[in-house]
This record gives sequence, C-alpha cells and structure tokens, in this order.
Amino acid sequence: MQTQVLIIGGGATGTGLARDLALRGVHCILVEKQDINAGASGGNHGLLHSGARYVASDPTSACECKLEARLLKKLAPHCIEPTGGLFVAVAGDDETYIADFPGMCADAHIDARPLDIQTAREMEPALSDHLIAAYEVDDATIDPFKLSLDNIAHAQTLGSQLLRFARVNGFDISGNAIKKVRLCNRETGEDFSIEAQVVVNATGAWAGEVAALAGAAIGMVYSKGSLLVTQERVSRRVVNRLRPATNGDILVPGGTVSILGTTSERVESPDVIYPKIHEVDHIIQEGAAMMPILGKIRYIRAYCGVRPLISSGDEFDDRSVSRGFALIDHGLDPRPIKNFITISGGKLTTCRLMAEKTADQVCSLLGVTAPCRTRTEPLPNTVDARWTEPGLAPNMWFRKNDPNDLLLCECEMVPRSVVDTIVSTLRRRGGVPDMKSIGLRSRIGKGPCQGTFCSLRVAAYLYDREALSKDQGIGALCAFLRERWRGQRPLMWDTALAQAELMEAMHCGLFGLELEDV
Amino acid sequence: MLMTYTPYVALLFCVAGIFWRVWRWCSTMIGPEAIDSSPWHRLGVMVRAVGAAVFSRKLWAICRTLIVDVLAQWPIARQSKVRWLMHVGLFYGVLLLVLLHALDDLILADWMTDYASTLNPYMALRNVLGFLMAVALVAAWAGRRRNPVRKRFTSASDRWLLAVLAVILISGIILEASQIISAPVFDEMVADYWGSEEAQEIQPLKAFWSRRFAVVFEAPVDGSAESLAAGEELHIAYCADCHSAPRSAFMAYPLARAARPVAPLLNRMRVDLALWYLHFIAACLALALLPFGKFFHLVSVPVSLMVRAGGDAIDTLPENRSTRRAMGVDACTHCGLCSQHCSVAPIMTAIENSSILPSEKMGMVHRMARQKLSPADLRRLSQGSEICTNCGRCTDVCPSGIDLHDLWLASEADLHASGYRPPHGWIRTRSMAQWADQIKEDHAAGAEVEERLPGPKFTENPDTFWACVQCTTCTTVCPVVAASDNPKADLDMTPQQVMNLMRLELKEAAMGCRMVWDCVTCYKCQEHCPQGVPVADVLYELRNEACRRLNPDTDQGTHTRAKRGSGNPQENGTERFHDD
Amino acid sequence: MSDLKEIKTDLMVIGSGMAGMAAAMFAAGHGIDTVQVGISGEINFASGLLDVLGVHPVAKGTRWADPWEAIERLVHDEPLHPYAKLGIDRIQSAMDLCLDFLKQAGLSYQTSGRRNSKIVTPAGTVKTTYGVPRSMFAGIQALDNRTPTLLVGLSGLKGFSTRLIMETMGPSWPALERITVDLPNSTGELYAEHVARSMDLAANRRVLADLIKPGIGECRAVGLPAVLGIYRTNAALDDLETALGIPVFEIPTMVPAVTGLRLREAFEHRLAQLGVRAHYQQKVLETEALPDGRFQFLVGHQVPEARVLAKRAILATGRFFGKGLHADRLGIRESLFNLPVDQPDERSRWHHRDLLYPGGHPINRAGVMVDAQFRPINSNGDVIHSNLFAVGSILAHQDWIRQKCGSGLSIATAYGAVRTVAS
Repeated sequence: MQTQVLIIGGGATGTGLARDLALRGVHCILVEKQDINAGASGGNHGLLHSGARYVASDPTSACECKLEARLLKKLAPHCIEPTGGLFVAVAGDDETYIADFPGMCADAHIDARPLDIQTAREMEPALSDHLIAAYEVDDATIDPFKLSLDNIAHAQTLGSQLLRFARVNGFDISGNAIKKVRLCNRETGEDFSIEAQVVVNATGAWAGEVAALAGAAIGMVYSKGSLLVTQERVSRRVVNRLRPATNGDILVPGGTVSILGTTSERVESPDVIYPKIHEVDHIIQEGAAMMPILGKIRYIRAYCGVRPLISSGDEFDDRSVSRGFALIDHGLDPRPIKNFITISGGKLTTCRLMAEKTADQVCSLLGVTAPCRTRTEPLPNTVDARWTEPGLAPNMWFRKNDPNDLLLCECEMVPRSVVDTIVSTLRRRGGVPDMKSIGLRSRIGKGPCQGTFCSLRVAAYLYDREALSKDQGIGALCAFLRERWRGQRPLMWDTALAQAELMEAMHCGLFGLELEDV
Repeated sequence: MLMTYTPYVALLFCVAGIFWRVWRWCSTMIGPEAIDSSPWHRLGVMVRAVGAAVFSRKLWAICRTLIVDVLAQWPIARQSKVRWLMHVGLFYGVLLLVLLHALDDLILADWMTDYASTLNPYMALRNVLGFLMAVALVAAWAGRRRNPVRKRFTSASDRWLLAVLAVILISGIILEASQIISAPVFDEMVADYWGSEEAQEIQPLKAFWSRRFAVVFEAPVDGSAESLAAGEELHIAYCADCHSAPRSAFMAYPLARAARPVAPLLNRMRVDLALWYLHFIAACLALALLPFGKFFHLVSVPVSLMVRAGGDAIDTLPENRSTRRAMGVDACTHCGLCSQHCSVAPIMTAIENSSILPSEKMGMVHRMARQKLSPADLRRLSQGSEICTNCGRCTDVCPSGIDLHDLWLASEADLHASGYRPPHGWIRTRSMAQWADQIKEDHAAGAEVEERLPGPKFTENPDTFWACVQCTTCTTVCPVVAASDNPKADLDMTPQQVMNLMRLELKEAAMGCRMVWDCVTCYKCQEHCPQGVPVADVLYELRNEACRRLNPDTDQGTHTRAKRGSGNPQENGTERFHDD
Repeated sequence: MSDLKEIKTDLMVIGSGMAGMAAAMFAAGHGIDTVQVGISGEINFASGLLDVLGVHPVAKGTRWADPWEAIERLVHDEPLHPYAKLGIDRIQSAMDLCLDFLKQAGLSYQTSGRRNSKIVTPAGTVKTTYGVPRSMFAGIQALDNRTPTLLVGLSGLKGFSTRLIMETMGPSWPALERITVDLPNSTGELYAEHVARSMDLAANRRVLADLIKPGIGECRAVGLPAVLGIYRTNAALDDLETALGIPVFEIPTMVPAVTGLRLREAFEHRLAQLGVRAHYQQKVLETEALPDGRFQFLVGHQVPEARVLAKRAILATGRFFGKGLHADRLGIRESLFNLPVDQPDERSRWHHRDLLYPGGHPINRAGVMVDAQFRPINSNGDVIHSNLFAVGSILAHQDWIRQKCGSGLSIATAYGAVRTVAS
C-alpha cells in the first residue's frame, strides 16, 4: 500500500489530522492498533475547557483553550453542549488562590464572572452549603467519540483510509527516512506494509514506544487519570473546584449522567490501565466536599486514560507538566529521520489546533501549499457517530414503531436496526463488526445490566446476520464483557454488586466462558 | 269562524309537526353508519323497510306488539302495576274522550242516528272517562312528586303535558256544570227547537228544567205540581230525545248544584261560553302540540315499539340504524326507569354529572347529534359515557322499547370521532412519539411548574430504575402483554421497557405509551421483581401524571394549566362545534 | 404489633431459592412443621440444571466426568468447603431425594448414572452438569454421539441463535442442521414463558411439530430452546417425539428461563401438598432472638403483615443478588442476623480486574462461616445461635459459579442442616 501520509494513532489528534490533510487534498492512511479513541481521547471528561483551569499553571494553554473552544462551538456544534461552567471553592480551600483567581483570569483574557453564593446555589442546587466563592465561566462539554468518528468519517469521504486493529511492528529506514512501515493486522494476524512520504506518530501516550521503533527517543510521563460516571445528571453546568488542579475536582455533565474526576497517578506503561479502588474512593470523597450528593449517589462506570505528557525530566508533580502539546520534527533529532513527525501531549480542547499545526508541518515536508480549512469548514455530522448519544436509539425506535425491530440492549434500548447500521458502516469501511466495536459505536452494554443480557443477544443476532462465524462469538463475548467489567469493578457494591453476580452466574456459571477463553 | 278554522289550523300544525319529527329522525346522525346518506334517502329506505316488514311474517310480531305493548301497555305493567293503572287510565281516558267526545260529530253522529252528547249513556260515559283521567292525572302528579329520582328528573315537558291535560279536563267538567245551570243556553235551545212564539207557554218547561235539570233562571219559575207536570209533558215532547237527566253527569252535576247560588251571575257573564272557548282552544292546543315535547310520545312510542318488532328487516340496514336511534330518542318519555335501574347510577354520589344516568344522557346524546352541546357539556357527556359499563339493564327495562345499549355504543363512537375519548381511548389517537413531543413541548412552552403531589414519587427517584437487572420478569408475567399477539403494536412498550425509558429520562415518551394506559394494575410485575422495582406503582403514577398534564380540566387536581389550544383533543374537539 | 397475625412453627425457612426450597422439602420429608418465607421469583433464576461439582481446581479449569471423585479431591484440597461437612454418601442421598421429589412433583430429571453430563449452552459452549431435566436429556446423548441433529430456532426469541451454536460447535459436532420457525399468531418479540405456556396445550404442539417436520431431512434428533410447556413438559416432549418420530430435546436459554419457572412451580405446588406453610410474596423484614430461645420474625411484602415465632430457623437467603449478603463501600454484612461474614480485608481484593480470571474472584468465597451442623460461627469458631442454620450459596469458602456446584451445594447443605434439625 502506498500513501502520501501515514498517520499512526486514531485518537482525537490523529483523526483530526486525517481530516485536516484530506481537506488540503493530501491522501492519508490512518492506522490504529485498537479502535477510534481507544487511548486518552476516549478516557477523559469530555470537557471543552474555558481555559480558567490553566490560568495559574499555564496561561498560554489557557488562552489557546479559550480560542479553540470558541471555534469548535461554531464548527462542530453537534458534538458540543454549551453548558457553561462554574468554579467554586468550599470552606477550607486555599484562600490565596481564590483571591488571585480573578486577576489570573484577566491576565489570560479568560472571562470569569463572580457570582454571589446564593446565586451559585440557585444555579446548581446540588452545591455544598459550605461554598465560599463562585465564578461563572464558558465551559462546555464535548463528545470526544462523536468528534473523532465524525473527523475520520469526513476524511474517509474525502478519500483517506482507516485501518483499525493495525499495529505498527517496525519501520524500514534508509537514508535518514522511513521507506516503509511494517504493520500487522491484529484480527487476521497478517503482516503488511505501507509506503508513505511522511509518517506522523499521533499515538498519544504510546508516542514514546512508536518513536522508539524508529530509533527516536522521546521522554514520556504516563499519568493515569480515573473518572467516575454517575447514574444521573447531578448538575446542569460543568462544576470545577476553585483551587490548584488536583484530584476529584471537576464534575462534567454529559447527556443524562455526570462525570466526576480525575486522579493523577504515575504508571509504568500506558497499555494495561485500570481505575483503582482507592482512586474511586478518593474521587468520591473530594467530589462530595463540593457536592454532598456525590458521596451517596450510585456510580455506574469508572474509566481512565493516560495523559500523554512529554517529560522534561525533573517534574515533581505530573500536573505541573505542561498541558501544551509537543510537535517533534524528527528531522531535527541527533539521528535525524526527515519524514517522521511526532505529535503528543496537549488536550482534547486543543486537538484541532494540534492537528492544524501538525498538518502545516506535514505540508511543508510534502511541499503542499494548500491552507488549513478546519478553521473555517464546519464538521459534517455523520451517521457513524450518532448512536453514541444517549436516548437517541430509544427515540428512533419508538418513533419508527416497527414490531420486528427487537431491542437487543434493553437498558439503553438499542434495537436490531441500530446494530445493522453499525455493522454495515463498519463493513463498508473494511472492518470486522465485533461486539466491542459495536459497543464503542452505540450505547450497548452501558446500562445497569452490565452486559448480562445484551451481550449474548447481540452475539446471537450477529450470528444470525452472518456478521460473526466460526467460534468468533466466544472471543467477542469475552472481550465485550471484560471491557464492561473493567469499568464496573471499582464500583461494585450494593445493587451493582448484585447485578455483577447475576452476570457472572450466567456467563461463567451457565456458559462457562472462563473455561472457554484462550 | 274562529271555531271553524282553529281545529284545522291545529291539525295542520300537528301534521306538519309530525312530518318535521319524522324528518328529524332521518336527518339526525347518531352513530357512524349513515354519514353519507341524505335525509330523503334515509326516509325512502325507512319507508321501504317498514313496508317490507309489514308485508312479511313480521306482521304478526308487529300486531302482537300493537296489542300487547301498545294497547295493553304490558311493558309498563311489568315494571309497576300502579304505574300501569295510572298510565292506562290516562291513555284510555284521553283516547276515548278524543274519540267519543271531541270527535263525536265525526264518529258517533254518523253511527248512532239518535246520538246526542247530552244523552245517556254518552253523558255518563264522558264523566266516567273524565273521572278516570282525573284520577290518573293526580296519580301521575303524585307519583312524580313522591319518587325522589323521578321528581328530580321531571322536566318542563312533563309538567306541560300534565298541565294542558288538566286544563282540558277541568275546563271540560266546569264547562259541563256551567252549561247545566245556564239559562241563556236554555233560551238558545228554546229558540232553536221551540215552535211557539208564546213566552208564557214555555214557563212549565222552565219550571221542569229548573227543578230536574238544575237550570237557574233569573226570574222565579212556578214550581207548582201542575206546572211541573205540564213541563214534563213539554220536555218529553220536545227535549227528551236529546237530553238525559244531568244527574248522570256525576262529575259536573254536583258542581252545578254547588254553583246555584252564584248561577245568575255566571249566567249573565256567559261563563259557559268562556269555558267553552277555553276548553276548545286547550284541546286544539293539545292537538297542535302533539308533535312537540312529551305529547309526541303518543306517536313515537307505538311507532318505536312496532318498528322494533319489525326487527332485523328494518334494523340491519345501515341507513336505518341512525334513523332508528333518533326515533328511539324521540320515544323516550323520560319516565326515568332506566336511571332507576342503572348499574352505575350510584357513582352520581361521587361525581356530580347527570349524564351518567341514561335518562339524562339520552337528551345529551340527542343534542349532541343536533350539534347543540357546548364543549363543557360534551366533556360531561364523554365522562358519563366512559362510566357506563354497557350492562344493558336500561335497554331491558325501557317501556318504550328503545335500544339504549346500541344508542350508547353509537354515541360513544360519535364522541370518539369528535375527539372526546376516555383517556385510554384518546391516548390511541396519536402515536407514542407524537404524545412524547406534545408533552415535552407543552412543558417547554412554559406550562406552569407543577405542584408536587404528596406521597412517594417513584418516578423521580433514579434508584428505582437502576436496580433493574433487565431480567424481563415483569414483562413475561404481565397479563396484558401475554394477551397480545403483537405487544409492540398494541402496547408500544413492555413494562420493562417503560422502566428503561424512565431511567433514560424519557418520561414524556413513557407517559404516552399504551402500556401505561392499558395496565390493569394487577401488580404481578411488582410482586415478581427480584430487585424490588415498584413497576406497577410507576405505571400508575405515570398514568396519573399524564392525566394531569394532558387533561388539565379534569376535576382530580388541576396542577398544570396548559396553554390554550395546546393540542388537547378535548379542546380541538370544541373547535369543530364552534365552526358549526 | 400485637394486632399482627401470629404464626408459630418449629422451623422457619428463610429464602425461596434452590436452598430454601430444598430445606423446606427435606423438612417436610421429616414431618417437621415448617413455615417458608421468600419473595417468589428467586428460583426463577435457577438454570434448571442441577450441578453437583463440575470444575476443580478452578484456577486450572479442570472439568470432571465423575462429580464424586471431584468432591473427594475438592474436600482434600479445600477442607473448609461446605461439601467437606457432609461426605459423599449424604450428598448423594440429598441429590437422590431431591430428584425423586421433583419427579413426584411432575418434573422429571435424569442423570448419566452417577456421572456428570455435558450439555450445550446457548452461548455455544459445553457445560458440565449432573441432573438434567428429562426434556433436555436427549441432547446429552446427541452431543455424546454427535448425532445428526436439527436445531430449531424461533423467530422473535432473543439471545438464542441456532447459527451461533452450529458455528461454534461446528468443529466438534459437524452434523448440525438448522431451521427457524415462525410461530403463528405472534408478531415481534417472543417471550419463552409465553411460548411455553402455549405448549402446555396439545393443539399448539401439533402446530409446532408441523412447522419443524419439513426441516428434519436426515437428522436423527431435534433440539429447540426450552419452551416445551411449564406444567406438561413430559406430555409436550412425548407429543413432539411421536409427531416427529425422533428424539427431541430442549437447549437451555438465558436466565430467568422456563426451566427455572418449572422448578418453582414444582416446588411450590408439591411443598404446599406436603404441608409447608409458604409465604412466597413476603420476606423477613425484622428478626429478633427472644429470651426463650425462639426467633421472632416480622414478615411482609413492604410492611409487617405477620409475626412468625419459630423454634429454629434455616437461613437460605442467597448471596448479593438474593439479598442474603449486602455490600457497601466499606464491607460485606449478612442482612438479617448481622452474622459474621468471612471476607477479603479490603474492597480492592473483592474482584480480580479480569472478569474471566481463572482463579475466580475472592468475593465469591466470602460468606457466612458454619460449623459441622451448619450453624453460623464467628471467626473463633463459636456458635452464634444454637438453633440457627445457614445453607446454600450464602456459605463461605465456596465459589459455586466457578466450581459449578450451585444446586448441589444448596441441596446438600439443606439436607445436612435439616438432618440436625430433625434429630
């Protein structure tokens, strides 16, 4: 296979870059070893920062955030809910920081409007009675899955290609340039290679590992952040704790739920990460100080992501590492590779900007002069992304009112027709419609049954539709349930534990999946 | 001249009125069957069908009905012997008085060569009939006063009928009495039938009539024995062929005797003439009024009973069904028997809505068919119809042979067609999705914030729904789901799916789905739920809340007042009538 | 409280899952005056397959064809396992009595002698179990002999795909064919329980047989999801086999399944005949140990409706799903008597981070500790109430899910506890 640009990594940056390049008329192939947003792009709050959070630690980033958020609200409104946000401090919080906050915001040109306590509590009744300060900012929420899926879908319509489950095994380098990238199809086990004029390493937390395959060294710090999903939406707005960034200080609404996070824990590798029990307890404790209900409410899922932070070597706290992004042209390395670029770090809010800067760099290498169009061109709302939206599938289902369109996932009310759509989209784009991919593109398995019933129903349906064959189903079932388990395990007490017990009784007790898995 | 033409004018009114009533039978639309038929067409169909029935074996049934139900009034006897006596008294009293007295010139005068209204047995018979009628009238009046239900539903029409009959009767009796004592009448008769010019020769006759016939003369008469004897001779020669002794007028005669002291005055005032006019005009009025109000039941009840006896040949034609219903409504005498036997009448103690009662609903239905009901009345009628259990008792007891059961079904269909449906019915007028949009839109458009009702609010606690493990037990044990061959089409959602809609915060959608409205609250779902989800309580609460939100005018707690014309079907229904 | 209905009894059985039903059954067998309380529906979640012991040790996933040999080995390796308190003879007697009881209740079970059987699950896997409903037994033989078999699917029944089973089993059982039938008078989703109720009527069975017949071809057996009636399963099976001329068997479906419902109906019906006073729509709301040694239970659906005074009590309330155990963020407790619960020292050790970790999750071995007579004890081994017994999955030191010993554990421990009560 040949292409102008090979992008490694299907996160927010990689997909955004694919679209940016495609809009400039550059052909690219995006390879992803798992699925879209498998890394930190999927494991975050979905918060479109106003910038106020970074006014103390990184005023430049703060300003970037503000401008990018404004742009995205205009260009991709279907991915964004303009909720607005609050910064609140409770008794005992650092009063110097509270006092300095308005000044810092003004310096960074971030709009932060002071609120009296009464007003703030009227706006968000769940706030603690120990509130001592409150500011209103222009935070918003963004659905990162929708954003990335729309980005890549647009790029694909413009002629670019996406290869999921394609892992980079190595680079063939000669004459200070990558000639060929060796890859492996993880589904079939087949090796293949791609020749590209420019290779972009947009692998986020894995940037160090991928660069190392090409012999380039990048110092990475792996900082894991865990988040919790509440069973109901606790606030209308984003609520930030008004204090230097630390654990459990942001609550972001998302559809019918709220997301509370995060933590910051150094991990050795970005590959196998789990939200840990003590992190969960810590987040809940901190969140409850801001909103007491967070101490009692039921949490339905925990997840985490690894922040891709480029290390300068001597950080004391991972949160002090710049949240700005790093664009590395390996042509300038001690051992130069002139057609290799790494983009990492940064944050979701600035992903478009990161893609733009990277594309500029790529174009200068290719000698393409076309200007960036993602700054002006609205992001098309594609079908690929629709079904991740809560409530959409049930709405469609009862509006269509087709008696033969049975619900496969009862909790989130996802019917057969939605699975059909996702399967055909996946197939059209050349992928295998396994259950985890369908789960990623829909709400299947995200309700309280934790996959107990929908898993086998979807598997049975996929077999009936001839989307699965041989014994693929057992592997698909195991992978799907494991993925659900990962997010449930730290939250298993009370009803969630009872539900997990039923799930295990059926899938292990009756089906014996633990004995089948290889 | 007045006397000559008044009866004809009255008769003209009567005939025209009857035709008008029959026309209304054919132009009134009750029930969905005859929407496309013109009144002429329906009239034609009706006449042909009746003709066909008469010339079929049905004739026997019709005759039997005529004898048993109309003439013997058996349906009333079945209900109450006292009432039967009353009704028969009134019926035959009036009927025979009309035939033998009012129409004597046409009937008796031709048959009986020596007929005279002042002869016996005619005079006595008239009094007997008058007495019968008087007793029946008093009984009817007393009956309506004594029975609280009947008293309550005695209408102006009932009072009118009784009043006009009473006027005719009383004026008739007094008239007869006044004629008995009337000297001027005696003088007129003498002028007409007495040959001699000599006033003196009449004196014995006067004396005889004064004594025996109670005529009161102003000048004193010679009451000697020979004068009387001579008078008797003259009487036999000139008067006896036409005049029996007035004593046999046992109603009028005592009255005449009692009036003797003031007789001269009355005679001078020619009260007899005044009473005659009154009696005559009242009778003409009764004739003219026959097609109106309750008078018409004299025609409509026999017709209704006999047409019903004509049976399927008439009833099954779609054009006739509507006609029959209108005829039935006209045959209602408002006797109130149906309401006395109505199985849901006791609900009146809880809901003050008279259209729960069949006797009252009947009138409402008729006015609805004539499009004369206000939206508020239509809502009341709709509520009354919803409460009816279609037990059929009203039809069983109706002495006029009205098929009330059929009438209720037809009128319910009409109410439904105009958008007045019971909640579980009008919820079906739109799809679940349309309701969801409607409820949401109302809410967004600023329907005022609801007051919280006391008591547990299961639907507001997300924990209620998050406990669900999706085991489907609630759905599989639900008898409503089990009874359906196609639950999705019949119910939109199963109980489990309703719980999930609630968890997904799609409450508006849940409120519009038919499962919520078809739930029989048997609580099987709730009892079998392994996780203790109060499934039935949630369904019940949703239904109540939807009722409040969709139907803000219901009595059971108006907590939201939706904006005008909010798509509430009740209100849309009203628009139709306004346009008319 | 004094106006509550008072019920006196010798034995109170708390719970209406498999263990509760088994305890009531054995108690009735001994002629003990018994009251049983438990929300109806718990046994609905039983798969209908009566496992004794299928896997040991779980970490290796070793499956056993002979459950008794497996128990010997288990008891040797895990001396705290509840089976260790019983001995093989008693476990066998318990199972025999239970199968006999069910047969009398009209629900026939079969075993492969004294050995385990292998049965196909709707996930296309093979499960090792012991007692199998008669309606499923032909499937065991068909799988053993790789008989050419027609798999029948029902359109509208979710979570059951004949193609899934065919494709997954294909390598080891190639002679599978499939057919999907549309049942008349039903559109859209089909619920196994509704179909099963309709199959209690002979006319519907004839319709089903006519639908299946054209697909048989060369097949020598027919397998279909478990929908063959609830009360007349034997008749339904016989009718179908007669009409089709070849063996017919049911394949288990996802829980809660018709097979669990049959168990519930059989137990409830037969226990009532034997004089057990059951309150299936009620649960124990409050418990008190009276000074005279008896227990007082307030029972009701949501508010107390009756007061039960019992000389002895058997706790068969199950684990977390059955609500016998309850966990919050800080720990696990027993719901009714607040009995000591043997449990991992912190929440991070409750579950392994991999759902399918071969060793199983430590929380599944947490539970109530008992002495040899199944009386709950504390960590020092002291008996807490001499007249209280705990049976079934609530017990500690077992992992019924991974060891595939759920039914056997419930039945055998109930047997053990009732023996003590009776003596």
